[in-house]
Amino acid sequence: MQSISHRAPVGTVEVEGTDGIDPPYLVESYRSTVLRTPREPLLEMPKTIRSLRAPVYGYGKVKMQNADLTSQGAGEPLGERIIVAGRLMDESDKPIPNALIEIWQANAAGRYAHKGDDHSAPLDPNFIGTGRALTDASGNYRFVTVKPGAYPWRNHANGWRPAHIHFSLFGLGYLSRLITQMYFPGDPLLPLDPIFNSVPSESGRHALVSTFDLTLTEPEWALGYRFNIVLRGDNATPMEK
Amino acid sequence: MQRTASQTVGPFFLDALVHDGDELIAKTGTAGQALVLEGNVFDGEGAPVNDAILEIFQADATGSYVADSPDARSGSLFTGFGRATTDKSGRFSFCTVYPGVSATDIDHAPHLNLMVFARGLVKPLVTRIHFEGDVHNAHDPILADVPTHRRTTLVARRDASNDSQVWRFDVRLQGKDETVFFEY
Ligand SMILES: [Fe+2]
Repeated sequence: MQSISHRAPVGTVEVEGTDGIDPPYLVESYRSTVLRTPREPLLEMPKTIRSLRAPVYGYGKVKMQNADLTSQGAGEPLGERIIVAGRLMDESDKPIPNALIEIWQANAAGRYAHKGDDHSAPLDPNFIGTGRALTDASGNYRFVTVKPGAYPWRNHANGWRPAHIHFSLFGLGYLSRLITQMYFPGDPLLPLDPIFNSVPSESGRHALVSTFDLTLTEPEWALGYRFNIVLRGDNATPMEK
Repeated sequence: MQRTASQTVGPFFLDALVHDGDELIAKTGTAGQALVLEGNVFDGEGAPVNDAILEIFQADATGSYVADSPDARSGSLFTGFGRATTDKSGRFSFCTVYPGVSATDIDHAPHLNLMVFARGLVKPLVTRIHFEGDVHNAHDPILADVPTHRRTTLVARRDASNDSQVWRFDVRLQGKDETVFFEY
């Protein structure tokens, strides 16, 4: 069995083949990477790809109610109702308006409504756990959902994923495409999670943890968590610092 | 501002990311030569990768990428973008048209841009799919950059045993005949 390695502290990690933000492909403590990671040298990203605009996708499919994951069943799902909101920006702090955000998550018990999830926690007939939204003119987005539960995985002995919400995003350029995960503050599983800790820098990991936000919180209704997302800029060069 | 880090798509994205018709990049009636792209994704031991999601982004038959416009957003015959997942055997397929040479990159051979996401991939793998026998391949700068023995990993082949519209492109994440990927 694998032991969890705690990564080097604050901003000191410079992993070859990354710019210090994204994980390297091979993360030994995350076992699924071992046979799915290229071993041959990677080629420099062609300018033809770097200069591509983002694809046009999914707009026809987004309806207002897609951003409310608590209203997709006959009744309300069980669990702690939360608001997850934030702003989508690029590296030069420019908000990205009208961008598609797709999310998916486990229910409050830690179970995905997915046939591949065999965790014994109960399914919730009122919770599908998928959502879509477009950012507004200022790059803001807002979802209503329930707080996902932690769930076990077989990566290592007694392995548990910290509570998280998966995010998929498109920016302005093709290479601003991002799939990531949002975590919750104070989760005791974070220091033990090989996926969260695959991010080399402390600041990079910190940015994946949402913050509790009283201004997003609605009285007598739901707690608010803020998760701002920064995408690679238009025409940005990978590997550039 | 510092970019947000990439994290794996994990195994449970299905209903969130993939919808009926997402593998249809060009609907019936799109100008150009119809093209079905089929392939399998394999891991370092040659085992099928049955939980990958592939995204293709390409130019149309005239070499133009779909520009972001109200027209494009309301949905035209050609979207230029598609998604497909792999099945139990690691197989995926897309329906599209053969891409043209882009007016801004005339030295580049017709190609499809591919991003692969999967459990075990902490960030996407990015590559290009070229077409065997295309006359433009001979002067393509990307193919020229690839060591000769690995060049075929970037080239789709017409499936002789099948309908002539079907092209085959396998993705090998690691090991023998590993696909050439770009630094993301
Ligand atoms: Fe997950």
